[in-house]
Amino acid sequence: MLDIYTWFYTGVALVIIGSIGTVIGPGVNDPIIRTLNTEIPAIGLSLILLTYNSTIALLTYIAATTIISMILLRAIVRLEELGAEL
Amino acid sequence: MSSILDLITITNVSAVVLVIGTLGVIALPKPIDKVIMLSILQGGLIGTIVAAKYLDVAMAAAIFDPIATVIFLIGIIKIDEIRKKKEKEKAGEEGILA
Repeated sequence: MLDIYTWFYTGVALVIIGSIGTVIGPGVNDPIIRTLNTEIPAIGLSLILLTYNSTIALLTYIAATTIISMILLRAIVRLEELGAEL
Repeated sequence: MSSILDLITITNVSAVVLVIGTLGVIALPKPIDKVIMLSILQGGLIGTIVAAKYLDVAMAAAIFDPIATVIFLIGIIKIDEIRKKKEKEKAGEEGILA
């Protein structure tokens, strides 16, 4: 029973700290650092889904996070190649 | 009888690992250090899922997390190459002008 509270509150803390870190963390003017910081709220949300026993949602979310990070990094590298002002 | 050893469970240890990973990812400035701390964070997530006894989900997470790490490393190396090339081009242009 205590385990569930530990998962939930750790997840909530990760979502809040990670979101604030993504907005005003050190060195977030670099888009690659900002993308790396967005992984923290993703893992916090996974912990909240685990608390509610949403197995399929958890599985899908872990896979979707990987795929979306792939696409985001490809877009960042391409824009950097073109020399776009982001 | 409860002792301090009762606090050492998979859940508690994973929560500590998650918090350490979070602070590391936010505080360290270099991208390569961030990727290393992200691996610690993902280890904490897998530990938590194992503590919930969802071993099938833990298997999927264990497959997908290294893929994300490899993608991040490829992206960081590529973006570093592009920035170095651009700096060199800029220096070359300034040399011609001077």
